[in-house]
Amino acid sequence: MKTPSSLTGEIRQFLELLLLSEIALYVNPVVVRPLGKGITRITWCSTSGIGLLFRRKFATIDDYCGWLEANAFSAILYDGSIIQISYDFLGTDIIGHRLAYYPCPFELDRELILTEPILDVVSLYRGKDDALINLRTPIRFDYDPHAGREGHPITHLTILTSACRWAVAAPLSLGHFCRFIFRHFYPHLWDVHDFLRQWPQHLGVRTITELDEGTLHVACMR
Amino acid sequence: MLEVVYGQTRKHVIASRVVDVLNQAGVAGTLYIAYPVLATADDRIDVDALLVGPEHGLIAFMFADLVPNGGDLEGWREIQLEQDRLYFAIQNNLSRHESLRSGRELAVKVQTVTIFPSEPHTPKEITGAFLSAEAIAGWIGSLPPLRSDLLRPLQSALQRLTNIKPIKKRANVTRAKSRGSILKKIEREIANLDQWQKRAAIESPDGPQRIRGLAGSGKTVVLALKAAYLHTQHPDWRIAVTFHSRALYQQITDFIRRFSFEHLNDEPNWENLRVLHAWGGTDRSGVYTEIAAACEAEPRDFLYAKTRFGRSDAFAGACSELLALTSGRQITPLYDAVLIDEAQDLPPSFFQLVYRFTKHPKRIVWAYDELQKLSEAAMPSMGELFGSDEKGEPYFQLANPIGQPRQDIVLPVCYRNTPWALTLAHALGFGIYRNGGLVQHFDEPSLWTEVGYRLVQGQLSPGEKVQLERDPSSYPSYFKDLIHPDDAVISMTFKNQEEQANWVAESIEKNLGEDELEIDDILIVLPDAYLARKQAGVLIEALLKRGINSHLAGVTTSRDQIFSKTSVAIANIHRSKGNEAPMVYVVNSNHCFSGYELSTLRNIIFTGITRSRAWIRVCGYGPEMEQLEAEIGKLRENNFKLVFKLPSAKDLGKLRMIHRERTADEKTRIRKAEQGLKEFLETWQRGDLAIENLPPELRTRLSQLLSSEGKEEAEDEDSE
Repeated sequence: MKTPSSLTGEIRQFLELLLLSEIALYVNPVVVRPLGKGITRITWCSTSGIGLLFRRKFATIDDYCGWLEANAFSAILYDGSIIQISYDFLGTDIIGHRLAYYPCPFELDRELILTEPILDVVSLYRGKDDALINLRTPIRFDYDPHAGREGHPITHLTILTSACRWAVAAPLSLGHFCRFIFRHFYPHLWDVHDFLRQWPQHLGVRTITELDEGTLHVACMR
Repeated sequence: MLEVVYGQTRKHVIASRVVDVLNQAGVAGTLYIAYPVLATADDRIDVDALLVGPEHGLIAFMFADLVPNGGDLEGWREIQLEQDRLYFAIQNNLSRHESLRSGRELAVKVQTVTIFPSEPHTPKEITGAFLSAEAIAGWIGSLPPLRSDLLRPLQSALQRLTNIKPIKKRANVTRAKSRGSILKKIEREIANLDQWQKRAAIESPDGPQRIRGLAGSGKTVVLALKAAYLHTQHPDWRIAVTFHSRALYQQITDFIRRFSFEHLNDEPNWENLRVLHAWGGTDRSGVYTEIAAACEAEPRDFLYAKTRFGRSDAFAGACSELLALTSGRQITPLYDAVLIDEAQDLPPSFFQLVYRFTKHPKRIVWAYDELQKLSEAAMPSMGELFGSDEKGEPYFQLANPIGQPRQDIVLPVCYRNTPWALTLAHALGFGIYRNGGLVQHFDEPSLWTEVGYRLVQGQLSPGEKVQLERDPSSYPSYFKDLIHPDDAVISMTFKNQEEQANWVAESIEKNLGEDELEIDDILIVLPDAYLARKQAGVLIEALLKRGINSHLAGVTTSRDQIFSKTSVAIANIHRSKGNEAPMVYVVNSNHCFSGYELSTLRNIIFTGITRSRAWIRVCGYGPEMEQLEAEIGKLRENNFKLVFKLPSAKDLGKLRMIHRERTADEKTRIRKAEQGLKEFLETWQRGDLAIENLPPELRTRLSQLLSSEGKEEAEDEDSE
């Protein structure tokens, strides 16, 4: 059973490995924040940046840049894509998660992003040549038992537009998220890093409704 | 003795006449020719000259071109009115300073006088002082002396192109001897400009001007104030202030704005006074992009220039391309004056471009510190900067003619660093106590004294053995009164990064507790820009374990303020430039001990150390740090004196070859890389090496190199 402390350690270890293997350019520290009523959130620590999250239209370049401006991410990957990992606990029960992958909308100069602030590099590409834009959707797995209703499954995958929520059978572990992202979007890394392939998966209790089970959805046996 | 500060004036003839007369009469004090403009509620007042001294107090001069006819009472009344306006502008200005008031009155008597080209015959209806230059001495002799306790506050009020920074309150300071308490005393002293900075800011020749000074000598402030000063004197001029680090944008704008409000009670006209990055980008224009736009040339961005000219020569290449494009074409100059900060980081082709696009008489001011240059090329000569004639003679030679504004200024006082930190920076930067000998050296040995060193032993000639130490006049005396050298400079060698991070975190916890420092008094500098993001993690975690937040500045954007009120700033060397903090930890200093492009590595540690305003901690790990610490140890043994043999011209040439020029080193590296690759491929092909045997970062790099992402996508499309 996961506890806030064991999951904090697991996320921290995962991010350290991303950094060590140079898959990540930068990782934010992992912090545990009390949210009140016995709820704690394990999330990224953003001590710099503007700290305010202005909601921007999903899957836009502004959306991508907004997370960076707010320093709201767990890791920036070597290609400029960002990853967010956040879990909410009530005692030792996981009661929410946000596992997101925001692909970088540009093919950034790899040498430049090693030393220069990423938004400075992005600004070299923005508004310059539309042909250089990578049309790739962000991928976000949310688990929010309180928000479940028709059209808004308790666990869901948001892609393409903010209203596009595919039902997901159950809350996901870090291992599920890691496999999904790296296997599909970074096959060359997946092939050479056993920690990505072997990160443990623990499927949570099923949350999918019968109605959603009858339509195309995301499921995993383990 | 009369000190004269030559500002921008059109009334040269009468101004020089006044200077001559005052000198002949042996008047003591400071005479500002063309003092910065003063503002009243609804007007701006030009001050042709201002004299301040112990024997006569404060005198404001107006220089008139013509003497009105005796019968022209209206003309005289206008002159009297001008004098009255000047009187009240100064009176109002000085009344703001509590130290100059006595009860409800101004304790300083303001004198005003109008100087005419010839003896005026003032009608009896007109009151005030109206004289020819020749009559000044007698008139001044009749004025009452200034109360001795008012001289210093008066000078400080007049130098109030001042209040460079708002002073911190430091309300948490309770202990008399804590670091916080020491800082409080230092900050009270440092808020004003010194006479050197003031002179440099106001003195403006009709032509190029060079300002050299060590880190912390106030080059940026001087340039910003000079720009603001020129703007107040000539609001119609188009003036550009430019720089290399984007982080300076805000700093320079703030300085100019503060100065402008102080003098004009208004914002400067930013249309004419342009604060521009040297290059510029899509979001903000720069000097280069403005020039390109004026020539209707497509401005090159960094991505283009990097691909075309290589990363380190990108800007030089873009400027050369634009120069070539404009060569032989009739161009219209864009600027009346251009002021360039961090000139050491900008290429000669940029200077040539600026030269071409600045109006005659080429008022180009550039400030630099060669030791903060974080790349390999040497500082270019005057000929390289502004071009030469057919005989190879530079178009410009700098000179400091008597009675005129200086063209070559050295700021000799370093306010930021303690004398021990600065000597340490020079010792490591030059490699004075390095086992393998010097890494680099000034071209001219005499520069040592110009930048504030005192010769203790020997002669400043090539090949001579010398002993040098900071001249007491080159740093504020409060450093010696308040800080002990043993505490000013501390070096530490650790086994590894983790041990180092723990010590830094523990020290910072103490700094924030019993030392009574504030969180933004601390800066951690990471010398290796490539590894900074990776290395910052260890420090951030170590601090977090002690409940201290920290952040790596410039991960996402260079526009972020480097310091935060809630989190300790960590910055790579490039982000640290132009910033300072009372307590600085340079970590992983071992990176700068030896290696490829050693003079750059040594400049990095120089730049890191010179960020400190009071205390510097030089830390690192491993055997290279032990050797670097041995260099620091030798400096201590020599009581913070630099004891070494000055290089001969031949030695200097060799140093440049070894540590600056890349060719030989690069060839060796390529050869080594080829050999390594060959061995790798052979081992791989024999099956002796599996990818799992490689360290994780090499696996990632190799997979990226061999990655077939693009190919796969193309194949998928083909099969659809």
